[in-house]
Amino acid sequence: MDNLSFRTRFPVLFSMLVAGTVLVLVGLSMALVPHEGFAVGERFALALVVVVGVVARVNGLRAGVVAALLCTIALVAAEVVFVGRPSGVDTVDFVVDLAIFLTVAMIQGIQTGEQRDQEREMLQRRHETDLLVRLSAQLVPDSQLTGVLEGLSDGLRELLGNRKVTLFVNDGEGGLTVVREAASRTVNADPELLRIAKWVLHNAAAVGPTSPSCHGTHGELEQFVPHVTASASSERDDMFLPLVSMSGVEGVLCVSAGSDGAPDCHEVATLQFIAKLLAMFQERKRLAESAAQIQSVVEADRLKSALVSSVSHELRTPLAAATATVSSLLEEDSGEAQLPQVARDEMVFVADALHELDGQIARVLEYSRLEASQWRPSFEWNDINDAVAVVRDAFPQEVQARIRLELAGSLSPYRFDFVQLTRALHHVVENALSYSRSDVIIRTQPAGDGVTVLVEDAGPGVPDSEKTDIFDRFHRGSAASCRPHGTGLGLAIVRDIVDAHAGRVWVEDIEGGGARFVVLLPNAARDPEEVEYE
Amino acid sequence: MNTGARILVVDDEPAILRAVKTLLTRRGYGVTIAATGEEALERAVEVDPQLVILDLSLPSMSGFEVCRRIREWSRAPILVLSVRDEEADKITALDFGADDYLTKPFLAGELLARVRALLRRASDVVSNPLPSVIRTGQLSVDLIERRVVFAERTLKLTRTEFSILGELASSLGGVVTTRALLKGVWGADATESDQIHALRVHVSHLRSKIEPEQGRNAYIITEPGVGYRLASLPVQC
Repeated sequence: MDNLSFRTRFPVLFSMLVAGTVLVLVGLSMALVPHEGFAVGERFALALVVVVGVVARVNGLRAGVVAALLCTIALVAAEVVFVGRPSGVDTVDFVVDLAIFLTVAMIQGIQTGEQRDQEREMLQRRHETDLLVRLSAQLVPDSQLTGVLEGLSDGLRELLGNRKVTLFVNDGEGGLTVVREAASRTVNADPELLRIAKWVLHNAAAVGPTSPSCHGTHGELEQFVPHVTASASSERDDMFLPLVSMSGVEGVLCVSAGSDGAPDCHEVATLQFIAKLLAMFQERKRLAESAAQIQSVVEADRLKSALVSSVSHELRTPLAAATATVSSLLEEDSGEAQLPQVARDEMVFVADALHELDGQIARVLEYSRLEASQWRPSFEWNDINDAVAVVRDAFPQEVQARIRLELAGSLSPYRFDFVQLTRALHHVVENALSYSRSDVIIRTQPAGDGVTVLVEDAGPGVPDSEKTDIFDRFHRGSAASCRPHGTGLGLAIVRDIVDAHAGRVWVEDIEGGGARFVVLLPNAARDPEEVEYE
Repeated sequence: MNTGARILVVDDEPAILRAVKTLLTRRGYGVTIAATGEEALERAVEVDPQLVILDLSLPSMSGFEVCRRIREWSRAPILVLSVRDEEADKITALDFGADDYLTKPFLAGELLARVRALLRRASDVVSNPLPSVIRTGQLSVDLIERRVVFAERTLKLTRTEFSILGELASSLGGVVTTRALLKGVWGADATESDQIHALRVHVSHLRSKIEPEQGRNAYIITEPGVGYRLASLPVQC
């Protein structure tokens, strides 16, 4: 702004000064310089043509045309005042001279004005191009929006005069954050400005003064919605442009009207282009931040997996050695190493404790693996009755005798992760066995597009107040006194695995006593691509 | 008591080596131990074991690599013993030439049963390298005549059911991965979900014809996430 010349800042005053200077010089020349052979009117007329040219050069085409008309009137006035009213043949000569003068003045005014307008237009384009190039260069993912906005507002002031620019950014929760109000150091936006900006965010529509009707010269410009439609109390001069990217509305650019009034079509087109650039920048920045977060999560999962693997090896190796040794001593055909009964009973106790320890380690490691965000079920066709049989067969022989299977015949294969579902069912059955002294029954039933597995026991049941809580991590139910050992993770693992299959698991009471755990996979017969899995 | 069978045990944990060696030696097996992959390969050449028990987590050379290199020149069964219980590891081990997989910690009885089954199978292969009739328990599978007999009763199987049973019988006692089954039955390109669906249906039908007790799989054993195994049971005439 400081570099703008006097001529640019005060064009009308400049024109008047120039015109006045020329007229003074002409007047002095008429008074002081002999003018034989060169009539006063001719000299004056030439001076007036110069004035028309200067005015058109400074103020443009329209000013040039007005100046030509005014100068023609001035010439007539000067002729009458200094020479006298023409008559007879002189009148005809005068009119012809006047017509010629008017034509020449008009041509001068129009050509000079047009040239000036074109030069200004080119200068404007160059400023806009420079601004857009600067803006594009600034828009790298790690740049700060406040810095971008400062550069933007400086450039906009060059192009559009004294305009205030406010940038709102989508906070991802349906609201807006004010990044910066340029030309002001505050970050408190006018509440009505914020309200209109939110409307623009949710409707992805531009709000502003009357739409400029300049299609064809600037392509398809966005239509503007009136302010009152966007919850404003009255029409305003501000323009609100949504920053629309491929992902949605990234924010809102608000440009207030300056002293020149609402922007013309060309300025609107430039602002819309700037809005698109800002939208792209914000989208790229957001995606870069998401990628960095994902990378952090991936790294955390990798470390977690490495820890799980290490813990698994370090804990299970000595456990394996102890289990192999103890179980070897208990083998019936251990030949000469027959143990006394007391020692045998103690060894059985040790073997059971080792087995329990292995189970606890397995549950903790299993839960850690499930928590890792990379785990997803492997949906393959599998036989649900086969899965139930595998669950039963994984228990020791003496425990298998307490498990009864009542399986639906001729079930089609269903899509589920065999390994994970058998683990889930194992936890449900193990839980039922631990709380019930009698048999546990496992049933399979078709259920619409899916399948249900029910595990029934004759234990104390689950109180209504705990029916939901028992699937929470580390929850130990009120009947836990029957089962002193436990991490409280088994049923939480069940819920996580069933949830990942878009299924449900719940517990209900059995008439006459006992609990029934129901695992429902409602979409197990459908193509996984048709189902929304978490 | 089993005398004379040479078993090579490979594990970097002294406690495991001691426990397994004690367990097998008491049952009459001749046990050689190795703590690293390189040592395992040297011992394998020296003793020419009839069975290899191999841990996957070895220093410097992985158990997968040891398995692959032994398989280059030896047909001795390889039983993988590992704390790694991920299905991907099991499938990889089987693809590298292992015959069975047991996760630590294991019961002595489990290990002994697997050892007996693998040695029995290896012995059958030695005495009859190209058996046309494979027997296990009350089941007899004639690969040339395409005849299956269970408890002296000839079973009617479809072509696909027989192909599946034939693939399993050819690796009696060992695990056949789902992928290997699909390729053996439906060809090299058979990895689509439709074939897996069909495999489950045919295995279910096979079981209904072979298994003596519904819901209890004594012959066709599911290896979760890996495949199936036809159990090597003492033959009952």
